[in-house]
Amino acid sequence: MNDFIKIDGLKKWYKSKGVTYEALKNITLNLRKGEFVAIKGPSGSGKTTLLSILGTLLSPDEGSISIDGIDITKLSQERKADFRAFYIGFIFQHFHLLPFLSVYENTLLPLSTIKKEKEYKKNLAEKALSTVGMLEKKNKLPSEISGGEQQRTAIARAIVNEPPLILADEPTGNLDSVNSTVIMKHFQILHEQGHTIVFVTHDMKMSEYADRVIHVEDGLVKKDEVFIKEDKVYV
Amino acid sequence: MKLENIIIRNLTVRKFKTFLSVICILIAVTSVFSVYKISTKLESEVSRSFDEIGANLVITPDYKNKEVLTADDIIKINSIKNKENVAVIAPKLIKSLDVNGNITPVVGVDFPYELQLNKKLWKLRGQKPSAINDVVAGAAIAEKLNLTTGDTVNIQGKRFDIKAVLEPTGAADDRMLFVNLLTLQQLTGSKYQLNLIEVAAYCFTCPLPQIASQIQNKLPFASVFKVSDALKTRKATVEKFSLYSKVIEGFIIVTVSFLLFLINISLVNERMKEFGILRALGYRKIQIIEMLLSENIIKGLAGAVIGYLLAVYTAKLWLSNLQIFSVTASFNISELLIACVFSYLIVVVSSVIPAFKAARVDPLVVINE
Repeated sequence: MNDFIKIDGLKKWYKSKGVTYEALKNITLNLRKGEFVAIKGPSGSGKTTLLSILGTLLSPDEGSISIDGIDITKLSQERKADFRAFYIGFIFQHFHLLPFLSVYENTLLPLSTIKKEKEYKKNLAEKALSTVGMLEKKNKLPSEISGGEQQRTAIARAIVNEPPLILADEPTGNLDSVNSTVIMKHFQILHEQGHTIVFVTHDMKMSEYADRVIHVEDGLVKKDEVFIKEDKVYV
Repeated sequence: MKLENIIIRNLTVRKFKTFLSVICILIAVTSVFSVYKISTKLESEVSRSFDEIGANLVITPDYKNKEVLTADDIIKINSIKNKENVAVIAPKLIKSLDVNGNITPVVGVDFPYELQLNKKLWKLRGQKPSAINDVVAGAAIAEKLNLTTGDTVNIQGKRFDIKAVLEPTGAADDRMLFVNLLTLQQLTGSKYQLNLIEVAAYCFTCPLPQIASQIQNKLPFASVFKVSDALKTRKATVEKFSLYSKVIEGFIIVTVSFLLFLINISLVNERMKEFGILRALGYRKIQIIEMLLSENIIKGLAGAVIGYLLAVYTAKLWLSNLQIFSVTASFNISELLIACVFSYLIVVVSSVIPAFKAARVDPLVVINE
């Protein structure tokens, strides 16, 4: 299979009060289409920075990164926005649903800038909500549903426009174990449907759902594990 | 789901701030347009009054050189550069004559022009004079000589009919008899002669000194006087009102724009998370700007329509309480459109910086907060 994501010599540093802090120190990775990847590491290891760069929300200081053959480091801010709209579905730890929109309307958000018929958008939204089992609660406001349901709505929003890549930052970080399991099961379903999923976690249990776990520590890839069914393979 | 849905939802969710913004725009539109309507109505009324109340230029012969005015001088006045501004030219011949045995000032006038010149001042009790021996009597002289409409009067041995008696004007006209100019010229042997020409010009906006100077150039042996009357005071009052109202309008526009700016900045600060999420989901900066501007334009249009209707009502109320002018304000669709454009400009000016601030939000910062 061809590499869907190519990360080469990626470096990122932050400057604060004259002190430079290296968040990513030369990361090189290749991810294939359809992979279900967990980026694992302790707090401050650089995993969220890596995910943010993958999601074009942050620019690296050195190195290149291409997704589906597009060098995202060379895109302008507005082209990055377009790229996010068509290529990436985001799922955040704190769900980040708009509180004044219903579950259905939140799901439709990524489609609101696309010029398509209302019926077409409706079908996509209902399909996404149905995938995560939220169709019956589509008229509820975020404040009227549980945290797990809010995250499922966020997943529906992330997959509604059928993006090739789904990025999730600590998707279960704000959920109890039951809801966390439900969310990860949904991720597995999406993975089985062919979505490429990359999620960040510090939870060992959650990383076990992935078929590849990349361990990041001190801004470096310390370990890259691929699981084939029950067997563990070191790469 | 379209951008419009998010816009409408935002307006209804943040009712208080929407209401506050609409009220701000409404205050601006109401105050600016009510003052505008009042001042323009007063200006046009003063302008109209210049034409209606009487002459603002008086031309007399140069008595030192024993010159006289003639009918030819009327043609010369009609040929000046600013002839478009000349509304009425009313020639006069004034003689003191024997009227029923009393020496009385008799004025020969061209009645159609005279009636036009004095249409506000003269209230006729009787009919308009039309025949060559018709007379209009001033109120005081009619009382003195015991004349009423329908009577006949003997002027210099010739019989005249009293066609109308003037209601008291408070002016010299009360003490005079007015007859046909040609008849008086024939009666007194002063054929073609005039000793006074009154000129009324539309002079709220026209340059009266220039007209006077142009007439003076055409009639070098005559004296041209500008009439100072109550209208000038009124005009000055209206001009002062217009000036003050412009200052007040400017102050209101600046204040309201600043208030709207503050409301918008506060709204944007409150909604940074929303904009960050939208940016993360792939919304372009221009779409965020478009969203915020559209929200404000909707508020602006609502404020403009309600504000303009209130302005018409306020102007009507104010003008109805005004004693010196009999004018009223009315609804005008063009003004409403101007109010909408005006409000649109205020809204855009006050929301450009907040909208750009919203568009520049770093989604990563918002998401990680």
